Amino acid sequence: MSTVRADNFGNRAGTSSIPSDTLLQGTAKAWINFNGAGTIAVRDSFNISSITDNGTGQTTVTFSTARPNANYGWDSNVVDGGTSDRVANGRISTTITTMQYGISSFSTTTGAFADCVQVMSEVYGDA
Amino acid sequence: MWTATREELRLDFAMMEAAHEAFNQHFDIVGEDRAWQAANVVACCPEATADETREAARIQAAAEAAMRYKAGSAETSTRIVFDDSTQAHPKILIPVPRMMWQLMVGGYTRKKRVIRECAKSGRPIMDGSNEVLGPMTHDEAIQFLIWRDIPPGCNNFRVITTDDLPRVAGSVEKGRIFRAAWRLKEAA
Repeated sequence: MSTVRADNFGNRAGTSSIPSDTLLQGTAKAWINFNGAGTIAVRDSFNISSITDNGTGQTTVTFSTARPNANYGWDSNVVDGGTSDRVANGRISTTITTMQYGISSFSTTTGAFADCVQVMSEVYGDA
Repeated sequence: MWTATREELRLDFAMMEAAHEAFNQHFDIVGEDRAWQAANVVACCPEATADETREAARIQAAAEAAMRYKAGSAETSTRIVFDDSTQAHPKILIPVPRMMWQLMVGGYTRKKRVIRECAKSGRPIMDGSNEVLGPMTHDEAIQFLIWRDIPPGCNNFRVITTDDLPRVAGSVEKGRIFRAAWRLKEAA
């Protein structure tokens, strides 16, 4: 396997370019889309080895290649059919490590954890 | 369904890693596309023993089996149920199809990274050996995920299929219909 080493990447015309840091630090390091309701199943993902169902609306996500540090950022979104009161945030009881992080989804109406049909999450951080 | 202690899994995995190491030492994989590489294993070293040749054939068969899945995705109905230190309801680990495919086709690199710090000494605990793992069978890939992704210290787990999933809190559908209930009434 070979590695391209460069400071900048630009278009063929030379009119536009970005520093390599934008690619290394700015691209998603992992992402996942899974069905969190019923029989939980992963639709597609990148750099995720498994997810753990910790109960209603609570999931732990494990990276296939560990992050170099635990100072990464992530965001999550959920969609659940006809219901519009579902939101997602970080799962408090999952310790954020270089190997895993947690997602919680809950209903803003009842305040209780809730499973959602579409759960999507992306991770950004050091390359 | 089968069960094993983490120690047994660790030993299994150590044997598998040793087999892969021997494979890398004595056999070459030819071809450009990684997914098809393992289908063309050739001996590059006359010192390969009969056991290693047999292992090479097994690895080749595992890679060929992996190729029957859709490229890049090996959907599995296998789930791992485990209890962690919280002693709450069981947790269910769901293998990711893309990771399963990567393990079954081969070429997954366990990059050397710090995964956490020792609670007592504060020293970093490392994972990975920077070795490229060879193709695994479906069961080996599941074992690898158990060994890798289940929290340390958790020995109590079961490997099941989606048909046998336990009902965790709130997972029973509220809108379910008892379609055969009238039969019970009729019989009574």
